[in-house]
Amino acid sequence: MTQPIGEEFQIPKPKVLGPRNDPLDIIQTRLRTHGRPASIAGPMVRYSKLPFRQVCRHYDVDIVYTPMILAREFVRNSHARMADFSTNKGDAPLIVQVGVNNVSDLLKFVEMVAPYCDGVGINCGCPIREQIREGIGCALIYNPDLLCSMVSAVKQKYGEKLRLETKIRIHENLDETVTLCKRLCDAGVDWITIHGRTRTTRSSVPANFEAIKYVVDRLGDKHVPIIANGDCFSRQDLQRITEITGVDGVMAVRGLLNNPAMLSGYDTCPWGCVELFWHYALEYGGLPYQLLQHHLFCMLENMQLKKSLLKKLMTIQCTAELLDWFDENFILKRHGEPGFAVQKDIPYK
Amino acid sequence: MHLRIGSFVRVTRNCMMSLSSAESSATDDNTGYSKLNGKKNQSVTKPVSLDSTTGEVLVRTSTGKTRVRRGQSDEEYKRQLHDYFQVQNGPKVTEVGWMDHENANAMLNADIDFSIKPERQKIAGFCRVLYYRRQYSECAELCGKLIPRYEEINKNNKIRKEINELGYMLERSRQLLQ
Ligand SMILES: Cc1cc2nc3c(=O)[nH]c(=O)nc-3n(C[C@H](O)[C@H](O)[C@H](O)COP(=O)(O)O)c2cc1C
Repeated sequence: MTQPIGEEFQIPKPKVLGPRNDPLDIIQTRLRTHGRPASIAGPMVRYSKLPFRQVCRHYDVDIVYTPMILAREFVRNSHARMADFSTNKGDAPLIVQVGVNNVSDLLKFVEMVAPYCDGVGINCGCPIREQIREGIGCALIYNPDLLCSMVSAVKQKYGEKLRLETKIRIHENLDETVTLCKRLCDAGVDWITIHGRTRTTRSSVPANFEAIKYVVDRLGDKHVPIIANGDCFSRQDLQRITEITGVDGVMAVRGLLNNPAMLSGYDTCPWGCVELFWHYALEYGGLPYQLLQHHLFCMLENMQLKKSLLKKLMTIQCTAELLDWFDENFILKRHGEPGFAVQKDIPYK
Repeated sequence: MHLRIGSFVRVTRNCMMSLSSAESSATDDNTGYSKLNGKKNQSVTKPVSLDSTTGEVLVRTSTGKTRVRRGQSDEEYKRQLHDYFQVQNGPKVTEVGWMDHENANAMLNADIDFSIKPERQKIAGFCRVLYYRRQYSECAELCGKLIPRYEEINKNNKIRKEINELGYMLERSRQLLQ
């Protein structure tokens, strides 16, 4: 069944959810099926694009987010749509994260992305002042009426056919976070991700897992999964954070940017991951050069590449030149060559 | 005409009514930049819904002024839906090996509008994959054909960087073939 629009065309329905792509199902069953909590690659403006998402999936990440996409622009402007969202068949389970400040834009946004993703997440954590001024991101945890009205509008329209998540930060007063989460559960949210920092906590200050535990302990009767976010930099952290907080899964962000393979148990980024990233970045039609360069810089820095080489990398101007630099300094295998994407250490030439 | 005047009046009236509620909901000063106890003002403003059906909201900008973020009428939204689902066929989809099903020469012969950036990005992406896959003769051939087409539209040297990259791949592919 599709919904007719005038007599001209029909809007595709939301993607069908099953055990392989339903994020809620995955979060609820990972411990039983895989003996570990669910692992999630959280949203990063600029960086969580398709090639990066695929690399993460290759290394035991269960669910991956897009960067925050602003609903207002997306539903009004085709250039924004082209720039903000590209996908493919393998891009699942995928959560499209949205920055939004009203019900109408959110419903439209969901209608447009639901056929191509496995869930929508509302960003209630972005601390950037320009967004907060618009009532987007972290502003939403101080505006529970609006946030809950957005959640219930979507869930009333789609019910179980669409998964909806909210990614929040903690309040200075944790009981406000508990109250907000209870209201979100009552509004029908499918799961909540809690970043263990307040709006003004710097990312250099450790995430507050005790705070997450405080909230988790008070939500037991709601039966809505909670995901912890903040400072997950290894597979051991994933276990440790789960044990401290009692959550159902962990979202990692900066750790995965530097080492997309970390949740597979690699303490530092393996070379194979770099090869895989090159492969996806090019095969998916290319990333803007600065993004490609930044990703590779982060991975190579994590592998403790010599400082002089890192410095040189940052002076390179275009994709082809960067590829030449890799071929001059290292053995960079291409897809299809024996040993592609399996090397651990840097294969200097 | 009648309609437009009517809706203008409605919006203006709503705005005026809502300005006061925006102000009262905002624990904020007018500039938004004052410092309290040496800390930057960290207050949060709540957007005020002016028209819940179109998504028109009133927000406060970083300079402290209030601004109306215009709504989107049903008609406008339908146009976007049509463009997105019918014309574009949903979001951009790229599978691994997408270019194996495309013929670069056919792409060149077709009426590509090189002044459109995404079109240029697509075909330059094609060159980069050829270069990455070490298919240097195909890469050189395609770059060689593209450069004059790019030069034709390079007004004010705006796409010089893109041309330089094609030039780089052309030159290097030729060297690597020797
Ligand atoms: C470069 C960058 C971009 C980010 N973009 C987003 C975003 O689009 N949406 C969001 O909810 N959080 C965003 N965040 C915050 C992260 O999702 C995450 O909450 C935060 O980094 C804490 O997790 P971590 O300690 O694992 O990095 C971003 C963080 C970074 C470093």
